[in-house]
Amino acid sequence: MNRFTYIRPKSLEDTFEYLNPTWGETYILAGGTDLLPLIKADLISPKYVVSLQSIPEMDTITYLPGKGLRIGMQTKLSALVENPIIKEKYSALVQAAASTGTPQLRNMGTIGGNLLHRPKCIYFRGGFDCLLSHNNGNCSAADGQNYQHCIFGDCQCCAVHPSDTAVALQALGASVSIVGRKSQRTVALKDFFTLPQRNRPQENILNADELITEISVPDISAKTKQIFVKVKEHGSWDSALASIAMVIVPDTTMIEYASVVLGGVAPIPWRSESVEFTVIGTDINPIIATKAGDAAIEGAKPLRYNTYKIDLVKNLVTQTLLELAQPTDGKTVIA
Amino acid sequence: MEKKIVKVTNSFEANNQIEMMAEVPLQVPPAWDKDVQLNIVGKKTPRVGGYEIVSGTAQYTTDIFLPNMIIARTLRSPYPMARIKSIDTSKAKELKGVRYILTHENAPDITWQGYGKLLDKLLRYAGDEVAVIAAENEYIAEEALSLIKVEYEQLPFVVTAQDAIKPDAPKVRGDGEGNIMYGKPSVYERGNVEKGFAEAQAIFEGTFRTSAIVHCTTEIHNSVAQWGGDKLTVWDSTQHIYGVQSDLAKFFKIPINKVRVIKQYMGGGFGGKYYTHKNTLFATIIARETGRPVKTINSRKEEFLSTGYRPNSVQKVKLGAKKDGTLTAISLDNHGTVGVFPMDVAAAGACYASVYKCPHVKTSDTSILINAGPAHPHRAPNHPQGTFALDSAMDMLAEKIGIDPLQFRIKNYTDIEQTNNLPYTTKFLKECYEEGSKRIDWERRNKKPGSGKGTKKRGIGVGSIYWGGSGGPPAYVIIKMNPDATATLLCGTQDLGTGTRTILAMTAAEVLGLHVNDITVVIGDTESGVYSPGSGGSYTAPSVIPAVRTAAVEVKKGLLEIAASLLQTQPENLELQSGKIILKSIPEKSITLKEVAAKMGNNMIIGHGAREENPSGYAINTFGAQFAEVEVDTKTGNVKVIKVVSVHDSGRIINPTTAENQVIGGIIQGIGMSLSEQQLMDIKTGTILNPSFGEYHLPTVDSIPEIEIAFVNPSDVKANNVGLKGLGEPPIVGVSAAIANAVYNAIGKRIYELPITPDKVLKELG
Repeated sequence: MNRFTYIRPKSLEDTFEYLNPTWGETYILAGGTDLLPLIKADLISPKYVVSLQSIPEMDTITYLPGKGLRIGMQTKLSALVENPIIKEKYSALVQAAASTGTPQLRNMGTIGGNLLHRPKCIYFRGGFDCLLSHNNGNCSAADGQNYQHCIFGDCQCCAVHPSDTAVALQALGASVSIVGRKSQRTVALKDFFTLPQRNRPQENILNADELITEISVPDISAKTKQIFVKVKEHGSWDSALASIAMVIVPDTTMIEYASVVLGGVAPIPWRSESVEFTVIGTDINPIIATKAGDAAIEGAKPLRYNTYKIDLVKNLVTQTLLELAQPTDGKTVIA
Repeated sequence: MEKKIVKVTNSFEANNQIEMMAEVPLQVPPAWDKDVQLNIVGKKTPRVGGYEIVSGTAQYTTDIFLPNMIIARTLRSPYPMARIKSIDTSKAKELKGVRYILTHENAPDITWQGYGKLLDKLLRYAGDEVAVIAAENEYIAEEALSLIKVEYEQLPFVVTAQDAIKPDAPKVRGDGEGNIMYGKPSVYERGNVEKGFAEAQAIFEGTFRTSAIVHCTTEIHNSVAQWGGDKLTVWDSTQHIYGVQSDLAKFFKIPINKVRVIKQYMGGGFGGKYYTHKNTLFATIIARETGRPVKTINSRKEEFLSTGYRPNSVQKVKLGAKKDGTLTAISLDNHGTVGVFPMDVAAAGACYASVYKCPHVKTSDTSILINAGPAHPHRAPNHPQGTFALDSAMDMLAEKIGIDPLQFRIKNYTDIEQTNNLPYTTKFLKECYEEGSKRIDWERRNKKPGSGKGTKKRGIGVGSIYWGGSGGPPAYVIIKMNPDATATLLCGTQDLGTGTRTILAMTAAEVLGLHVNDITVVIGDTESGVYSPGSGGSYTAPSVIPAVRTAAVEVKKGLLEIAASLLQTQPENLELQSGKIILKSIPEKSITLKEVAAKMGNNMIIGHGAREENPSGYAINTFGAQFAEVEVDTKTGNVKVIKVVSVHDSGRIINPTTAENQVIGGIIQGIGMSLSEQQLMDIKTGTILNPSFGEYHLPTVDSIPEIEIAFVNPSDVKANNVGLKGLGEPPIVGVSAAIANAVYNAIGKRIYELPITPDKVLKELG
């Protein structure tokens, strides 16, 4: 671990003083549950660590009917899970946040930090030759112990994106507000995440001198059904072997709208347009659900030890669709 | 206490026979049989020291802070095989607060495990010790490590069994010796397996695999060493204070009376702290060189890399039986990788030879050295992996023959230890099967495996437990009666966290008519205690408790004699009851223990106890049966354990509270081994991929099922004067077998490899 300067500004304006367009100099500390392990493992060596924890009002949650939900990026995952309006309107997000880490990690971890969580790939974390790390090498997982790795993405890195909330938020059509010293923009999550690229130690479009301030989620109609399901290897404190967030709007006889995002299968939350396409305009029945399962794995390229993910994703899509099609409120967790 | 000298042979870790000379009691009190009326022993009793543990006031070795103490951290090799070409510590030395740097250049010439040096120029695994830095605090020490410049010459390495046994494979030891330990497999044979298989009417063959399992003790391996003149005091997180004492005396060529080893509280050992580790020696050396107390500590990552693991196993199993279910032959060809400087070997064969009655058995175990950290004994070494494969194979053969798996086991029951033809002192395995099958409701299981409906399928399976745990001499105890009728018990045993103090106090209190709180138990200190064996091999209770009773009986004798003179009668007319001594003929006539003790003042009664020898002509073993009910999600591959029933023959149970704790802990460890724990090695670089709790998956709270526990053997009177046997290790032995068999019963597909993770289940389901 290197020595660094720790700064705790009182306002966003002060924060920008320390943000630097050069990668790798300044790191933002939101909850610290990912940043500190990265520093301790020498995977990053910041000059400055800038904490947002003293900036007021970055953890507010507001909901306006018709406008939707706004979540301050410093909102703790535990606060999000317990928020009554989110529980009522955005159950998939609650399911995703509640399945993340452990109670201790959720008490410290923030929603903004969770979206920016670096991959948990054991090769990246272990300091091996890796596209994502400072050694900028070739993926060690490609022909290594890769049973946890990706089946989609087709890039030079086979890590999977670690964030459960990103999967749910993207399915819910969320966007992030990005603020820089002189800039401000809003980007839909589907355009926010990027496949790993060489010399860019980040799985998103954020520039080194920008930060996320807020996440907004559009309002949800009363007939919308949503669900997040995560398959893990064991108990708690485990990342997804595969996960799915599904949001559908049923009309009287058929599905009018569907948004399907898979987790644990690609270096980014993986939108499955083929599943959406299969489902829209149909009534969900076992045949459609099976078809959707098959559609989900179109184009998948498993690695040596993760062919099981093909069956897993297929089953997960089929089962989740059938579950969601039940005439319930769609809030039941099935895994 | 009158004593005699005998030659004793004890079975330790179920398979090693150790012969020693021992001074044992000439006579011991008659054994407590199953009908004996006891007031304290056998009753649920809160753990002595429990308050200290949960309130954070118990002092673990990590909590020892001596005035002037410095902290040492270790630099470890990043490569699986390398030679240090040069090491430059000048930058580290300059860092403010650094007090001492130990490298191979200035370390004493201590040979490690016969072929290495304490700090060696040749580094044999990724994690091998390169240098140790002591500084004013751990952060300075850690920063200083990063300032050491080492030039490594990387050498060819092997990290898999296949690579290690190739004729031209790099030699892991680096000294010309090959990579097969002892140069050949360890073979056990009785009868003629070829003949046995020829007689068989059904044969099952299969290859089972288990992964390397890390101990993951809550408390890291750590030591504090302090020199006062020529006297060394070491606080060590160890399961064997006398073992560390004699090792330190040997390594540093100092008399044993100049070495004191202390272990008061311990955050888990599970076998990984049975033997002396290098960190204890580092602390000792740096303390001597600096004149300051030194504490060595590990990071969690270092714990994963260098402090031990249960070796993996690849077990090629073949079983043969007649149509009526009589086993005719068992053969096993097993190998496991044990790293370098191993303290444990591949020996899964031990249970194949003994659990089931079979005339023709051949087992072969090969321990293969690879460039990985040392294997260390892990709770019931080899038996959980052996039982997993053997009992999985038993179920497969039972199905072939068309016999109920439980009936198949009972059909091949034996009351004789087949490796030496001795009868067991007691064997209540049949009772364990009966009680367990009742509690799990065995008849609920799928008569046809995999026949359950729906996507979540349930199944039930069984695994047998066979283990050692006889205990034996030498183990000594002294009990001192204080002037207020309280007592102090001195013993050289140590508490791994199992509740040893509690059972010692209970046994003494039982005999002396006192309360548990009236007995102060002094253990975990070589100086104030008297020898007791290391806490391994399920050895502590059955070694020490009979000696406690012998010592207490001697104190009781003294008390009765004094009471007799005070009451003007003969001791045989008296009886010691709770807190008082009464005249048997006139129960109203009594004298309290406090009065007796007060009459004596500081004229102390001292009782001496020594563990009697084990009976000759018998085998002493522990047994049990474990039943698991699982639910397999056939769509995700997740296995959830719903319930485990664990029934044990460990003889008399002293404290059901701490005994059940042991069983629960063993089951949870077994669930981890069965479903989620595995050490992952990167073959290309020879390094461990998951040295953290984030990626090495221990069971978490929601992986823990309903657990039901029963003990079925009230007393093993032939084994020792208390009638108890060991319990520490048995609870992990049958868990993986029970779970694997339950999974098979649920889905009708056999998973041949642990851990049973979703990928393997989905692959089998296809």
